[in-house]
Amino acid sequence: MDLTSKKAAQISRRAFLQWSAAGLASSHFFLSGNGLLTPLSVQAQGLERIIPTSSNFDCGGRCLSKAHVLDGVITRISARANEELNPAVPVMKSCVRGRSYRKYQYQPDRLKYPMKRMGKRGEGKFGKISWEEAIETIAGRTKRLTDAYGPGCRFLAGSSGTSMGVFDHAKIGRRFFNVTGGFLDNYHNVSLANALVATTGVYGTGNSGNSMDSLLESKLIILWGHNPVETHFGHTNYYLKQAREKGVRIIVIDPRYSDSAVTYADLWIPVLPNTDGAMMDAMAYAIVSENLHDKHFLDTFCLGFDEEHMPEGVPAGESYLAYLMGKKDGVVKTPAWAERICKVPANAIRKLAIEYASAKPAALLSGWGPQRNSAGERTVRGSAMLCCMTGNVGKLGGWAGGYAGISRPGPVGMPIPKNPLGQSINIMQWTDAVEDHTSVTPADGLRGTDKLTAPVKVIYSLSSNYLVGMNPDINKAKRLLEDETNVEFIVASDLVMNSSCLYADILLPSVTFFECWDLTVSFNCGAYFILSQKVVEPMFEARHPYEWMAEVAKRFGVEESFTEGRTQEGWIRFLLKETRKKYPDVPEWEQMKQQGIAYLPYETPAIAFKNILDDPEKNKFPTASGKIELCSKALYDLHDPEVPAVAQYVPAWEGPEDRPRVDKYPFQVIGWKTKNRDNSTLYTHPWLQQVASQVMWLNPLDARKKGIRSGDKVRVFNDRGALLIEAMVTPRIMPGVLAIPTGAWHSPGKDGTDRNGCLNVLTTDRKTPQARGNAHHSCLADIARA
Amino acid sequence: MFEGVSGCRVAPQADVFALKDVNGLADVMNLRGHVYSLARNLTCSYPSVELLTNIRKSQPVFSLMEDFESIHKICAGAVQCLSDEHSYAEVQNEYTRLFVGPASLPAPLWESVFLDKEHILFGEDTLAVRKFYAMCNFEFHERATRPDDHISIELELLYRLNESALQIVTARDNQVNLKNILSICELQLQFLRCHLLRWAPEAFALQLPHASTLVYQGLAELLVSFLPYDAHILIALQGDVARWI
Repeated sequence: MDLTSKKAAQISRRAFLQWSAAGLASSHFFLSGNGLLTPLSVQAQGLERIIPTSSNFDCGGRCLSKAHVLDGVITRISARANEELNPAVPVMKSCVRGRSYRKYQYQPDRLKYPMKRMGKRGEGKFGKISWEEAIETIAGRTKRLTDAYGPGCRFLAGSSGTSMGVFDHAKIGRRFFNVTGGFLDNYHNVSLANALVATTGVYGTGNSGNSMDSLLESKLIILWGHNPVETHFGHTNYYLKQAREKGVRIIVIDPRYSDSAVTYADLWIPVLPNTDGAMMDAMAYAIVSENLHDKHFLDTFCLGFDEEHMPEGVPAGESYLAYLMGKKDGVVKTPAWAERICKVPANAIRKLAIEYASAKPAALLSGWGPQRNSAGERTVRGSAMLCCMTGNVGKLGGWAGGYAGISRPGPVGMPIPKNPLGQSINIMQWTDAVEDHTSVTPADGLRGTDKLTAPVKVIYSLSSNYLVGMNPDINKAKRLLEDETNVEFIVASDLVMNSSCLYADILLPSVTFFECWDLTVSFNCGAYFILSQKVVEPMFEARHPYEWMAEVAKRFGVEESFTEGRTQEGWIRFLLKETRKKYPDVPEWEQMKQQGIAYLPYETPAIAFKNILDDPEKNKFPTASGKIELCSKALYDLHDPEVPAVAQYVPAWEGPEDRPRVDKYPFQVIGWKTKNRDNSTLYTHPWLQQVASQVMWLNPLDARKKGIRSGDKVRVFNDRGALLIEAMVTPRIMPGVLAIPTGAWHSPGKDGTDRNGCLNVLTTDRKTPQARGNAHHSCLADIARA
Repeated sequence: MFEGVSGCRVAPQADVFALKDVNGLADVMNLRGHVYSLARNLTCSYPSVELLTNIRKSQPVFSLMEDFESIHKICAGAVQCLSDEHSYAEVQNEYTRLFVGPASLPAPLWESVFLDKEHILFGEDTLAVRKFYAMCNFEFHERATRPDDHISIELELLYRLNESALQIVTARDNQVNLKNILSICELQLQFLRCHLLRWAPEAFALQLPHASTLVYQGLAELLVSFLPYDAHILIALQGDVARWI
C-alpha cells in the first residue's frame, strides 16, 4: 500500500508543489463511454407513497406487504394494521420473513446482468453478455437441440421462488415451450406428492380439508407432524390460537418438540420417524378394543374396514380389522407391539386413542412432513383411516385427514396452451430422463407415452433451486449436470447465485415481486388473493422471464401466440377481469391497487364431504366404488408388499428397521421447514439467518455416546454424501433421530463435504412405492465430531 | 455485513501550500482529473483496449505522481494487457469477479452497502448521494434501476466538479473567478468527507486481497490512499485561492 491517511497530509504538501509545476495544460484523460451523470432535469418530489403488494414465494402464509416508496426507492416495508383485519377472511400479518423483504429486494448479491458460462460447467466462471446475445444464444441453441432431438428433449425446472402467483415463472415457461412445439412436462412436487396420491386413493380427491374456522368447533386437535407455527399454512395459526384460548386440548405428535408443540401443545408425543403407521395401527386397535369406533359411519361410507364391507374381488381376510387382529400374520397390532417399533409407550398410545375416539368432534391434522418418507403414502392412509374410524369425516370440528386440500374461490389462472407432445414425468424422474431416458417407464410415473424417445437435452430453470440445491440427491444431480454431453444447454433465471445457477450455460437476472405484477394466493385455506403490484423498476438489467421468452418466441416465429399481444401487466389486468366475471365482488383494477386484497369469504365453514353425509343417496365419494376406500382393489391387485391394500404398517426403507443399512448408519435424519425461510428461498438473508441457526438437533443420550457437545462441529455422513453442521444437544429431539433444518444452500468444500448443513447431500432420490414421490425424511446416516 | 466508518477521516487543516500562479492551479487540477477519470473508468465497465491504450499514453503524466506506486502498477498492468492476450483476458475476468458477479462480490462498491444500517443497495445513503448530485446540478440518469452511489458514479462527480473548476481556471478570457473555484473545491471536499471517504478506502481495502492483476491491485491500492490524500490537496487549494481573493 502506498501510504496511510495519516501520512497523507505531509506528503501531499510536497506532491502538491511538484504537481503544480507539471505544465500539463494540454494533457487530458477523458471519461470512457457516456457520462454517468447528466445535467439535472427533474427535482425529486420527496413525497412518500405506500403501495400494497405481496410476495409470490412458496410461503404458507400470504401477507400484505406495504411498500413505502420515495423517489422510486422502497424506504421501508410495513405490515397490515391490526384494524385492517377482516375476521371473515383473516389475512395474516407479516412475520419475520415478510418484514425483511426490503433487505431481500436490495441485497447487493442480486444477479445484475445476463451472463454466459466461461469455464467448465459447474466451475462458476461466467462473463457478462448483452441481453441481445443471451436471447440469440437461447433461441439458437434451443432450436438446434429441438431440431436434433425433438421437443421431448426440453425440460423445465421451476419454481418455488414464484409459485404462489398466477404469473409463476414456471407457468410462463410452460407457455413458452407449448407454443414452440411442446416439452417433457412434469407433475408432482417434493412437497406433497405422497399425500395427494394416497388421499386421492382413499377419498377420490385430495380436497379432504375443512376451512380452518372449523377448528373452533373441535373438542380435541391433534397436530401429527404438523408445524404451522413455522410453516404458517395460511391462517391456521389464527384459528389454533383461538382454539387454544377457548381451552381446546391440543396434542402434538412429532419426533421434535417443535415450535408448534411449544406454542400449543397440552401434550407432546414423540414418535420415531417412518413408524407413524405402527402407532396409527395400534391406536386403531385400541379404539376397536374399547368399541369406540363409529360403526355406522364405517358401514355406511367405507369399504374395507371389516370383512362384511369389502370391495368386490378382494378375498376374505384382507380387511383392515383382520390385519389389526393378526388374522394373516398372527401379530395382533396392540399398543405394546407398536411401542417396540415407534418408541411411544403403549399406555400413551392407548390413552391417546381413547381420547381421540371419545372427543367428538376431533380434528387430526396430519402434516406433510410424515408423508415425505418412504412410508409416506401408508401414513397418510393411516391418518384417514383414524379419521373415518372416529366418524370425524364430513363434520364441523372434525377432519378427514390426508392431503387436506380445499376447494375455494381464487383468481383465474394464467392460460397454458396444450402441450402438443402430451408427455410428462414425475418430478422425481428428471435425473433418470437425463441419465438413461429408456429407463423412464409408466410404472415409475411416465405419462402420455410408453417410452421417451430422447434424453433431456435442454433445461430452463426458472426461479428454482431444484436442479441441484433442493434436489433429493445433490451429488447425483451434480455428477449428471457436470457432464456437458448429458444436458447440452441449461438456462437459469434467478435473483441470486445458487447451486443450481452454478450449472447454467446462460444465467439471467430475474425480477423480484416488487418489480413485476402478479395475483398471489395463500396455501389451501385462505379465501383471498392479493394484487402483487410492481412497486419499483427491475434492478440493473433484470428481466421477467416473460420478457425474454417473448423475444425468444419471436425468433421461433410465434411471438403472437406466446404474448397474445399482452404485456406482463396486461396479462394481470386481463386475469383480474376474468376473475371478476366469476366473482363480481372482486374489486376493479384501480381499487385493487388501493386496497391490495380481494376477499372471497365463505358463507359457512367449508367442510369436506359434508354434502355426502347430508345426502348419501345423491352424493357419493368420487372413488370408483363411490365409497371411502380403506381397502383398495386396485392396490390389492398390485400385490406389492410396500403398497398394501389397507393402510397397514410396513417397515420403511431407510427407516429404523432397514437392516443391514441401519447397522452402518444408525441415525435417522429428518429435516424441518423453519420460520426463517420458504423452502430454500431467503436462505442467504443475513437477518433471517439470525432468526434461526442452522444447527442439528441431537438428543443428549446420543450426544454422550458420540462425545459431542452443543456447539461442536459435526460431520454427518452416509454413502451419498456428507455435511458439516454445528450440533445442538437438546431433549427436544428423541434419541436415534437427528434433525437438520431444510433449505440450506449447498456449499461444498474441496472434498465435496457440504459446509452449510445442506441436508440434501444425504437424502435419497429413491421413489416412494405408490406415488413415486420423494422420501426426504427417510434417510439414515452416522455422525462424528469434525 | 460491513460496519460503516463513522465520521470523516480528514480533519480540516489550514495548510498554505503557496501556489505560484493560476497555471499551477490548472496543473494540480489536471492531474486530479487524470486520477479520477482513471479510477472512474476502471470501476465503471470492463477495461477496453481503448481505455488501456489511454492509460499507456498517459504514463508520462502519471509518472509525476511519485508517491503513488499503485498508479505505476496500473500503468504496467495496462501495458502488459495490451501486449499479452492472456493478461488481457485475466483483467477482464477480474473485472467480472470484482465488479459484476454472479457470485458475491468481495466488496460490493455501493456506498449504502457499507454505510446504511441495513447494508443494502438503495439505502438512505443512496438518496443522500442523489441529493448531493442534485445540489451540484447533476443526476444519475439510470437511477430508476441502478443505485446512484456506485463508486464509479461518485468518482465521476469528483471528476466533473474538478473539470468545471479547471474550465474556469483555463478559460483565461476573463479574470479567473476565484470565488467559484473556491466553492467548487468546497463541494468536492464536502463530498469526500460526507460520502466517499466514509466508505471507499475501507471498501477497496476489503477488495484488495481478492485482486490478482496489476491493474486492479493497483486501483484498489490507489483508492485506499489517494482519496484521503486528495482531501488535503483540496484543502491546500482552497487555502491558496482564498489568499488570492
